[in-house]
Amino acid sequence: MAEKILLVDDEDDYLNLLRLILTPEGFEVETACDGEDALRKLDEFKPDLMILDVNMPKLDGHGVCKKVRENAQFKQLPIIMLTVRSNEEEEVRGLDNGCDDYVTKPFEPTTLVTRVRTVLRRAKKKLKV
Amino acid sequence: MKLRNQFTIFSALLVLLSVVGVTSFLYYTEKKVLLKEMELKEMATVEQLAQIGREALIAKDDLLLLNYVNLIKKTTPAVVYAFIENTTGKILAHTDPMRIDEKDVSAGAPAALKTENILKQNFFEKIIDAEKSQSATPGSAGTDEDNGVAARIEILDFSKPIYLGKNKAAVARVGFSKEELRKIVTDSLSKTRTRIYGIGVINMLIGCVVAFLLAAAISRPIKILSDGAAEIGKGNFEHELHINRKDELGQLSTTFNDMAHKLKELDEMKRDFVSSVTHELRSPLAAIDSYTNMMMKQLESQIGKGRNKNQQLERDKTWEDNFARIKKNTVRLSKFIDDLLDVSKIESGKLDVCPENIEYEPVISDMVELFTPKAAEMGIDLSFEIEKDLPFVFGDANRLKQVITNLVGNALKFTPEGGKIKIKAYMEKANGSGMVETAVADTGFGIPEDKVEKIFSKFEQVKEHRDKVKGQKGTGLGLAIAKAIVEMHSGKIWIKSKVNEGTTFHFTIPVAMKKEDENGGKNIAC
Repeated sequence: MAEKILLVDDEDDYLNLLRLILTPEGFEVETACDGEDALRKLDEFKPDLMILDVNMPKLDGHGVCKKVRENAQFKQLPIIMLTVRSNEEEEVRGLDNGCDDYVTKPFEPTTLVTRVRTVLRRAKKKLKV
Repeated sequence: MKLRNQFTIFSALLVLLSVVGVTSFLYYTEKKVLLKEMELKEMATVEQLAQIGREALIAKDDLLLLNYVNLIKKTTPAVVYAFIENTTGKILAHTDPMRIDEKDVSAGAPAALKTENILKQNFFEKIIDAEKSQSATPGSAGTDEDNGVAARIEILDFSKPIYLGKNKAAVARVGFSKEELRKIVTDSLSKTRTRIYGIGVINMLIGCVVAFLLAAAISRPIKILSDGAAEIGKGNFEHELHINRKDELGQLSTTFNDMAHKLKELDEMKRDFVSSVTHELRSPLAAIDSYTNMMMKQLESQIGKGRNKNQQLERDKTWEDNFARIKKNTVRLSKFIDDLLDVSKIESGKLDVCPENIEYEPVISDMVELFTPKAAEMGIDLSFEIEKDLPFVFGDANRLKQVITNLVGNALKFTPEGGKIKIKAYMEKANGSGMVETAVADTGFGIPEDKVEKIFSKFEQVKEHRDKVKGQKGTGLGLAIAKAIVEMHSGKIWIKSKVNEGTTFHFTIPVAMKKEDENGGKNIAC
């Protein structure tokens, strides 16, 4: 069964780009356009991984991350954060809030796919243990 | 000349002028008063002689007269002679006893005999030397006169007629030596002069001190203002002037602080603006970059799979080339945006430098490797040389790479084809300084001496050189960033340059810290 990824970004361009990169790699993809939308779709879609942009209106990436961790069902959900390059402060904050990895914009498609695979594999190992 | 000194000199001159004016005025009035006093005294002497003479005539007491005449001579040293003569000119009593009963033949005699009131005359008279006649016995006086000791003396003569009832009975005459009188005046004046000079000098000294203090009081706030202006000029808008005065200078300092405050606001606005603009630029640029990456990858895989017919393959190759160009330009643009962001971080003091103990060699060799293809393409020989047993350094590898990138990039830009760029790293020569020095030397255009100072400022490039550069000219941010990074490593950066011979950039970074110091260092930087 194809692994499911929830993409969250307020910029349509990035959602589209991520879909174009990830779909050919065999992932099932759903998109959300802001933090609140993401939390709604979490229950319906039940993703295996979430890719989360940091800068969003209403509820930003860090906020979403915290909320997700508070929900018992998704406590273990792997999250990859998307940040703007050379913003180490945000990366640190993201990792503190419980995200598993981060990818900086702009990114190479290969890097993104590799990161996604690595995080999923790590999560599966954790589940088995 | 310093304002304070100008003020001091000006005020001191003013004090000098007024002191000279006042003292000379004092001197001349003193002299006048003195002369007037002397004349009154002289007249009083004659009047008194006349009075005594009258009494003596009435009492027919010649001895009283003689005694008094001698008394005058003794008490008033300037007196040359004093005598009483009757209306025919026969001398009744004289300071010189030899002259008694002789006829008065002095130059002033005719006028003196005629006068009805006190008379003042000036004339020269042959007189036996006053001192000698005084010291000599009456007997020897004659001999002196015979021997011609008599001298012509300038005489101030006062005559006063003596009346008995309505008849003029006699004339009292006193002659003063003008020379003696002058001596008395000069003596007394010289005392006055010394006193006045003393007062004048003290006044001058006090005046100068006061002038200096006053000048300092006025010029100090001006100095504070000018120093403050210089400080603000350097970009330190936090600088505040403290002049607690209620005058124009106080107002000026308040205005100045307001201005600095406004400048600071403007500067902050600029910084915020640059920061938000760069973020806003970066986001769409990142999207373009990411899309380009994706499409390049797709094209690559299509070409790689070789599924296409020849014609399509050719088209794909053209596209690949086009994408590469788009990619190159987005990289260039994002490099500029990164630089801008770094500069705004430097200005707000938020540039992150995380030094740790690292091996220095890979930092340089990585960068040389990165630049070698570009240098070769430009026909420039790029090489590096690292001192044997160079210790580890305490630095942020990524930031140090940024410094070397900026310096080598700069050297490549301004070095013509066939030139050389050499990077050297060695222990700084001053022993025990604990710094590793890096030199990036090129054989480029060189930097004119007057521009060397400015070269590390933002957006600063040597204009004539900039015009010579083909293609990417750069923005002039690289060196400013390099300087900030080096300084955040507690290092120094400087230039040695000769026009048309080349430029060498030097910078230092500290060698690695011992384990126990390392944590301390880290806490400060991160």
